[in-house]
Amino acid sequence: MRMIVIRNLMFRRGTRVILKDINIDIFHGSVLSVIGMSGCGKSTLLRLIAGLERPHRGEILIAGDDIVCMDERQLERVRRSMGFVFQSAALFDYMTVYENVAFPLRRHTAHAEAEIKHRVATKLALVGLEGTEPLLPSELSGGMQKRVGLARAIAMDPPPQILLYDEPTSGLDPIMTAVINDLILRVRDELEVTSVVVTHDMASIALSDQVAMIHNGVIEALGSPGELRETTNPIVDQFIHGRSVGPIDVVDAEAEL
Amino acid sequence: MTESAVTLESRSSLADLLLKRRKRGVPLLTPLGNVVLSLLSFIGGFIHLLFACLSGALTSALNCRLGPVERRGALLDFRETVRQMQIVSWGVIGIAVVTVTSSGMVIAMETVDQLKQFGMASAFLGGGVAYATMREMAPVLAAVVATASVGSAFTAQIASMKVTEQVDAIRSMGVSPVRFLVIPRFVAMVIMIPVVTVIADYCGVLGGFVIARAHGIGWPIYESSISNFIAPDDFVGGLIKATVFGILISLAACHMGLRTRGGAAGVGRATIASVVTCITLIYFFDTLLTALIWHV
Repeated sequence: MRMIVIRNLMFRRGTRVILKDINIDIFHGSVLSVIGMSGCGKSTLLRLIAGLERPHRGEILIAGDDIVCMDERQLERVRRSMGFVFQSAALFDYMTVYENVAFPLRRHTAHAEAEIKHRVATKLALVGLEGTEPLLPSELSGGMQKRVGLARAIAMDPPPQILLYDEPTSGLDPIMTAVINDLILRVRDELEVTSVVVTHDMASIALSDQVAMIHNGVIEALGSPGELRETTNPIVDQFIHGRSVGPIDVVDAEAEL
Repeated sequence: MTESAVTLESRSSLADLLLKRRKRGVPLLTPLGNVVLSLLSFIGGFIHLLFACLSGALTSALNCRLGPVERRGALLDFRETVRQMQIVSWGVIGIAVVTVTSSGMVIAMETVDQLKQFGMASAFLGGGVAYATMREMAPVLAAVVATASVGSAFTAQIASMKVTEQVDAIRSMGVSPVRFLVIPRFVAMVIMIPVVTVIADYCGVLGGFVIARAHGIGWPIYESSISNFIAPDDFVGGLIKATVFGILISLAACHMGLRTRGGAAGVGRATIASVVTCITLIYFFDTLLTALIWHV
């Protein structure tokens, strides 16, 4: 079953075209990794899927409904079935960890405080952060903040059907990266969510079902992690193997120092 | 569907054209155009926010059943609204009392000698001070003080939430930033500025009395001067002003915060723009309301 369908998607900032023509199907319960150069529009794609930005052309179908022509009120309803894990965690810095994770439950459900408390504790335990409820986000490390962000994204009742991760492992040590990657899989298995992961981390790519590489505003390559590693496409090859020289020209080698 | 795609397309090509024009730019005309555009975008955003707040407050008043906050409406997001009311009252009452008391004293000092020359000090001093305080000094100073202390804090907080993706986080959880961030602040300001104004009314009058006392005018004379001179509409008109100022400050401050872009410098710019806009709006509407309430 197709959970997210994107057709002819075009997005620009001012006169700069960020995404030219994106077409992709994301299936229920699968993990899609989105890779590409910094600034190629990966995060923008996530924001478009969540309806945080409006495209200039194209369709985005979430479970069959086109969100492009929805108004903000309808979008709010769709977003309740989505979780967004921000690159910076984007925790509310004046609220405790408990209040952060309880936020969607308090806003959207009629649960009693005891019930909310129980659910928050469960989600925090899932991300390995039992007992951090009274702490403020500033008292946590970067990796802990990201995990609280994940706990908040999956706290809703009923749990989200789509999870969007914006560089969930950037800036983390290798062990914490592995922990987050395991969590992405665990959350997918336990909640049966469809995940879209924007990442630069090769370990995260390996665990996904599909990998899409965005280059110059289009999907340059789409396939399983194995297929992309064996690719003959020089652009994908250069990116996956991290070479400075290739079809993607970042710096002018001739320029004087 | 296709039709809307076509209009989107033609609209964006028009935007392209305008953008290219703007990049080339005409000296003098371009900056002037930019000022007009940003003014229009401010007015548009402000009116949009005003309607969102009024309709939000109205639907929750009509729809006040128990249930999740998002469904029962934002006015009854009691916890957040009460918290904002506390913030407003703590931020404003102290300085409002100081400024309005000293203004009352200054008015009394400046007028008492002149009035004495005509032998009218005892008849007019209390009334004069109360008149100036209730109609102008208390509402305007309370609003200016609220802009400087709480309005700027509203902008700074919302702006820094905006640049750190916290506003996007609110939206990503299916919550409207207007309902969560703006309406509680709007309600808090609209209730608290008139309350502060009433307190300031008393303070200004009492400040004037301190000076009157020093010139040998006792409370009964001072008070009878006030009751001879002041009509209920002087007091009520001041409160109407205060209510309008509360609407203006809260919406302008929140609007400036929500449209912030670009890191720490953006937060700084937004806060400056917010204070400048609020004070300009306060004095513009002060003049307008004075004319409308008492002189038309």
